[in-house]
Amino acid sequence: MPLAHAAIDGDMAALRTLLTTVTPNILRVVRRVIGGSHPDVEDVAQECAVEFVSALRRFRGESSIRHFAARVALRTAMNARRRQRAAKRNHGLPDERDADETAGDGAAPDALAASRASVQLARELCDALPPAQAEALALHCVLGYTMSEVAAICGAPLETVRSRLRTAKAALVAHALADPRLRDLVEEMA
Amino acid sequence: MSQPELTDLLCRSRREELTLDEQRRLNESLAYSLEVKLMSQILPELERESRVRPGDELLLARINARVLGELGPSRISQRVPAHRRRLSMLLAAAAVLLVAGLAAAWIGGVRLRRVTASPPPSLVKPKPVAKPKPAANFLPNLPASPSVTPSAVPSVIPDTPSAAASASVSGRVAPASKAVAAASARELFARANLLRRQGRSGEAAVLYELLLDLYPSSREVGPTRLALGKHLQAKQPERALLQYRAIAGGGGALRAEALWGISEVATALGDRSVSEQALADLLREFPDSPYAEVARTRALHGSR
Repeated sequence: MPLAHAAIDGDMAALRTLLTTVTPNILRVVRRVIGGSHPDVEDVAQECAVEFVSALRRFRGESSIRHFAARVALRTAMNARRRQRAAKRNHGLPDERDADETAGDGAAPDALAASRASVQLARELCDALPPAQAEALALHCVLGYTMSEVAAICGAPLETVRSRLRTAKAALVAHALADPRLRDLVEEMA
Repeated sequence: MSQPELTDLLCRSRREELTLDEQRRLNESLAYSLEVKLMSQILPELERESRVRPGDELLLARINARVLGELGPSRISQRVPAHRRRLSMLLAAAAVLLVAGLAAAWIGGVRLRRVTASPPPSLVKPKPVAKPKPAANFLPNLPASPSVTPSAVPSVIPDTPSAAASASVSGRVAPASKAVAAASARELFARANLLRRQGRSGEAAVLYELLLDLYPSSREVGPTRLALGKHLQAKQPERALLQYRAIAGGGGALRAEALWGISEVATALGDRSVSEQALADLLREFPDSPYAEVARTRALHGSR
């Protein structure tokens, strides 16, 4: 908090320190939302960092500054992803499969394909769900925050977050059941 | 235990926070819960995608340097609320369209007068009178301003606002307001960035150069030169060097990044003294810059 206040008050050194602290986390969020090998990672991360600095005035200390930065980055990156998809649709371009092309740590090809399809599904769902549910799903399933952490980050009651997540995860399961890329995974469960 | 709590367990298991009992419960749930199974696929895959990579340090340094240059803390409190920003953008867009409309009408009128007027016989050979084209097609026939590539303009800037920008610079339209000019420079910059992201870097470079020609005093000039320098660095290092030197000469927040670019290009060109001088300037003027650590290593071990 003191660092954030000092940055808001015009202390350039404080702002530099704050940015140095949060930008690695911002980069992590951006890679999770738009894809680790996406060509726009740097641009979107920069957009997120600018948004974070602009949003600092609204920071009241209800959550940690890292969580605050993660939420700002998540929203900005999700908007960037939606914009890009809309632009592609407007230009008649197909949506790219945005799974990372880097090596899969020796995972079996089938397992790798399933996990990438699952990630793809989660990202697509985050694009399509209502904003509050999409944010909760992204914070929980994409960024890996627990429900109580999601509640703290969003400033919402735990039960509200639980309800949003219940709906969002039901949609995730429904889409997975209908997705041919995940047929093997679903059959394993059966 | 309800399903949501199981996915909570999964989140905590990625941080190795589970007790043995909780871990056992989670493992059992993988056999019957599809949502847990899906999340157990998603989280490790995303951890792999978002892990630290070689070059991240420099990437973060670039981001921080640009953000600090673009949006200092003194401007945090000056940020306009979103709804007012939207209103301003709408007004700016409306102004651009208005100027474009006036330009189209005015130039259409000029062409019509030119076509219908009799040319002096000593200058022009007699030929059939051409039908006047619609005013909307004026752009391809515009005499280019000295610094604009005529063929590039219509192909990459087909719509009205940019046409207005071209027209206003050629001096045919009443001077646009500063707000309109700024909106147009921003628009050009955004459009060039979009092209670059789409992998159409050649077209992006044309727009960057156009922006430098049309709006030499706009806020976008520094980042534009930087982007152009990066684009030119591999194939036309001499021209990239000119861009970096222009940024460095102007001082400002991007000087550190420009000095770094000069050092890189000079190294590629085999000009070791220039490269070392740029690194020395970088270290002296920006000792706390994120580039400084790498620069120190280079200064110690020569250019590479």
